[in-house]
Amino acid sequence: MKTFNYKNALGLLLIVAALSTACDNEYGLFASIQEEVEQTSSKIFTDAAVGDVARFGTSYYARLNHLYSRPVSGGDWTETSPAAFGSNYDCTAMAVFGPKLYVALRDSDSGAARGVYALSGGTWSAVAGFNSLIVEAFYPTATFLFASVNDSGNHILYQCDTGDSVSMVPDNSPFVANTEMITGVVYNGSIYLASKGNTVYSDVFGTPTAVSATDSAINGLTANGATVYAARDNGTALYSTAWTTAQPVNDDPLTAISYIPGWNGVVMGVGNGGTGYYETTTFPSGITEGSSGALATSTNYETTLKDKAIVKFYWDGTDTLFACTASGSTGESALWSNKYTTSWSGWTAE
Amino acid sequence: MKPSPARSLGLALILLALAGPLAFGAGTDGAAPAEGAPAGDLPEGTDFGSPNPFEKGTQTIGISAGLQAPLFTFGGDASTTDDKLKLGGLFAFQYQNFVAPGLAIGGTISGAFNGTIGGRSLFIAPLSFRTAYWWSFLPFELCVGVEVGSYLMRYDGYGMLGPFAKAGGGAYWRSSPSWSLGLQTYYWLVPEIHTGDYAGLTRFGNFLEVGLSAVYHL
Repeated sequence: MKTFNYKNALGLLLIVAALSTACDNEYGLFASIQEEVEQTSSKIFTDAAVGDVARFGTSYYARLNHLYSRPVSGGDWTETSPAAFGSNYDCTAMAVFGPKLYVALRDSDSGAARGVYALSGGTWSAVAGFNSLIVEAFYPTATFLFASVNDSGNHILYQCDTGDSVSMVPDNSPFVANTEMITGVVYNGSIYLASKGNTVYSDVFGTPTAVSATDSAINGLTANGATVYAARDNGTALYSTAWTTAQPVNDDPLTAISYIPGWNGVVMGVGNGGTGYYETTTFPSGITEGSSGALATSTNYETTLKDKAIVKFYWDGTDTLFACTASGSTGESALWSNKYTTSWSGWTAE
Repeated sequence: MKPSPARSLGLALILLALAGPLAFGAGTDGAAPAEGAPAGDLPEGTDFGSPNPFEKGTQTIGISAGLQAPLFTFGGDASTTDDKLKLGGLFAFQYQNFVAPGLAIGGTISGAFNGTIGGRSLFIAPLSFRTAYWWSFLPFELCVGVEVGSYLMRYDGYGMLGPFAKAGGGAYWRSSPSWSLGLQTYYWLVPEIHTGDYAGLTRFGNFLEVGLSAVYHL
């Protein structure tokens, strides 16, 4: 008869103990898989860089080097190539302002300005005031479409009203003779605020005044009524209630920030070297990474935007939040959407 | 690397390609036909030794590879039975010892992988004890089997151990005295049990294994 072998028993015990450490009662594998959202990314956005997204009429538009669109109700993305654009062009900015969709162009060969076109009633028309200007970015507000214009290395703020009248902001503005990138323009219900370099300025049309802390570059602005939020390069956020008090979010640069009215919260994207995004509905408290589950379940977040560099968020004004991501690993999409009805559907690659 | 049906099929074909030449070439040298053994389409001179090759004391080892089809997932607080898994692949190694004519006990170690719709992968590695019954209709053979055991499962850096069961059977062609080649299909039940405050995470995974198998008769 075999005798009890203590070495074998100890070995078996060690194997069982090692396998047990691989178990986590608090994490459901099948349950997490059931929360996943199918990723059916369009090849258009694979390994691409999406600069802007906008909802106009019954379509979404996405700006890469060229313009792409798909119906809001769903369907495939297709390139939109208006004859008015000509050939050999790059789209450099896009925004919806009032009843029109504005797209800025430059020559893809020479880099020269090709003007700004506005889509209205199915027709693209050149906006004369922008003809010789190289627009880097649009910042739409309720009354003005602001444009950051690159003039031989100077970044100058222009405004366009609903009648397509284009003009430079007042001469006394720090946004005229300016070598720093303009990173945001918002309206807080009474005045316009804009950011460049390390500073947020209030009252762009009146007496521009630096209002924020200046120890880190401002990468973006967003507004919720009278409250304005700023994302900063040192991983902190500011808001207009305490402009000089940094609110820590992440150790890596915050590259995008957006207030989402339908959800009544702020989402902050982290750029290269960071991870995904942070979210809160009680800013400046309650800021947690996306895996906390407010905008998406932890499983959905971890299988989609976690570890991706967020470039920009876009809320379509109705029910869908878009996230533009920088090119990451080969084969990944650069455009993601998340629809809110009574709850968020989870991030899906466009 | 994400598993795919094409890769799974490729793996199955590679394994069978390795087993095939052995199966067709083994055990035929100089052997005389056995009395009562059907010749069928077998090579001339094939000797099975007995009309019923599954006598007490016989042993077999087998390898199999094929497709792992996710069926559904239920249990706990699940609001859906959609498993969100894609068609995957599997491989297995099996040992059997016949303890009575036609009745075998043994064990199987398997590995199965399925991609998820979110682009991740699920890996299940069961180790199970097996009871099977074999019928011989030379040159064809049939078996039904039931297995119980436990599994180690991995997904997204997380792991789980749990009980495991599968049941099914196969049909084989005895290509030589030493080898049988065939098709087999098994239903897998993979319970993922959580307790206490996390009992709602409990799920029962259900899969269907369909594969090609090569059995070597020792």
